[in-house]
Amino acid sequence: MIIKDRSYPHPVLTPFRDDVHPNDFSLKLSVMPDADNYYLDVEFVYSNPTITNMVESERAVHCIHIECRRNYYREIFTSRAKTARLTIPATEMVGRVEVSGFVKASKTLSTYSIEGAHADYGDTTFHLQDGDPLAVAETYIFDAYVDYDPLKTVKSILNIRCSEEVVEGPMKIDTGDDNQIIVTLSKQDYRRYTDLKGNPSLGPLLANQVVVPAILEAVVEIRKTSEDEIELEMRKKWFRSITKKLEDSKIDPRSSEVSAFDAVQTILRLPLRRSLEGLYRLDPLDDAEQ
Amino acid sequence: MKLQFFSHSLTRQLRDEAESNFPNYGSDCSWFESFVESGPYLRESRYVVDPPPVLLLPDDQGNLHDAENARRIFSWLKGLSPSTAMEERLWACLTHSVFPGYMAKRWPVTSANTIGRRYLLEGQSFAALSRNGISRLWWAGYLTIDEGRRDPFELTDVLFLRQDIQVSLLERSIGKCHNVRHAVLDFFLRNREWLQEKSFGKRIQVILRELNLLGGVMILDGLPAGTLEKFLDRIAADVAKDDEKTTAIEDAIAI
Repeated sequence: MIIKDRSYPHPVLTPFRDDVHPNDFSLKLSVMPDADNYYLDVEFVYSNPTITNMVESERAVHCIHIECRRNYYREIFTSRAKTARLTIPATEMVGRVEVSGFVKASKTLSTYSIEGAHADYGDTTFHLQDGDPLAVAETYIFDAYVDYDPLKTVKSILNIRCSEEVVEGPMKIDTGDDNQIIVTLSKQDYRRYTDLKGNPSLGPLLANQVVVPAILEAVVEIRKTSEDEIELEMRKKWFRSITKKLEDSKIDPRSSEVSAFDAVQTILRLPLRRSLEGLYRLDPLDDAEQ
Repeated sequence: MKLQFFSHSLTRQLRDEAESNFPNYGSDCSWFESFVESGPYLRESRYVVDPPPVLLLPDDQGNLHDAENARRIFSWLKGLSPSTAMEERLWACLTHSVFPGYMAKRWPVTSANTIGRRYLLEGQSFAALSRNGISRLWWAGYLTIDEGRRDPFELTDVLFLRQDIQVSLLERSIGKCHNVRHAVLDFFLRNREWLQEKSFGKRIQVILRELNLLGGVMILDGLPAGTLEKFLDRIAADVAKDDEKTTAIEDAIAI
């Protein structure tokens, strides 16, 4: 449920309208996932004395409404306190989740009026029932995926394959798979790659020959994705993983403020330096003696 | 036995090749083995389940047995989590590999669209879960079971009494609201005569529309069942009154 501007039959405290002044009413939310649960820390922020009094006198209650867009999960949590921690099993929600916060009447209020009501309301009082909203905050949206796989294990989102047809030719990168970025090497290159990667000093260099362009392609792909398509693309594990890694590195995945190449170097932790260090460790004399 | 599911690549292949492949779908499933002959395509989940139930086939009297089959599927896969029950690979496996005979009878394939809609999951919306031939049975059980009733599947039976009820509650956002869903089903349980009404389809649309409007200015989630019951009775009385008026006018015009 996304709460937008609505016209209510009684004055409602909400940033969408000037029914009540000041119209400060918001929900602060932080979401922390682990393997089993989502932990939602919520805080209602407002100063209206009528709402405060209604909640304290148990005539109204804070509500958090959570709805998962891709399945049937839709729950409401209530609390007298302005802050709360909600724990939701990770198995309940997948994909885009809408979190709305409001205060609703929890019993019949026969002569309701609110401090700060717009002058147009005059001395009018209202008959409200259990369930009528008294204050409404803007809806917050987050994407629920607990399989974030930071790129420390790049191979979980990158699959390097040998081409079945091409004997000698360029490397191909496919970002169309739901789980992994598929890198296909020609038969000869794949043989060379597997032969050489056993050498621990060459490992970083070889990996980066494949990993850097693949992740670069992925970052560009994320940036190209329109706002409308983000939700759909988030079903891809690699898409989520790289998006999360960029966010963890304080890089806006959708902004081109930082160049795609700089972004890749940041999330792969300076791949060139690691490759060159590997080369430094190669001692030609060792090879000659073998 | 462990519950099995298809690989990503097979699921994708079934979708990609649906257009050329749809004539193969039918009670003879021999095509499937040759279709998947390249490489292992079955995966094992961590769910240990009993052997699959026998599903009742639609009969010549027009009985689809959806409610009974929903009981069987949900009871069989009761331990499934909602996130697992959103997995296309699972439902693709059950429709193609475990219940192909049932699927051929209940959802005969006439075009590639039927494969996308009934054998796989069509799109990312929650409504797709209510369209796949097997997942709809599981979700119907999951969303309507009420352990507080003498027969926990009493509301599941009501859900499948009319196609309009399923569509209104499983494909519309208002049906995601647990207490609204149960209150509406309970209303039809109490007012079975409504189901015989000629204009039932229109009536349920109006009821859901009114509830939706009410939800626009009121928080329906979390309202006590008794309060919702009163709302529904009031809305239903108005709907029936309007309906009688309309019918009378239509009859008068016809005369």
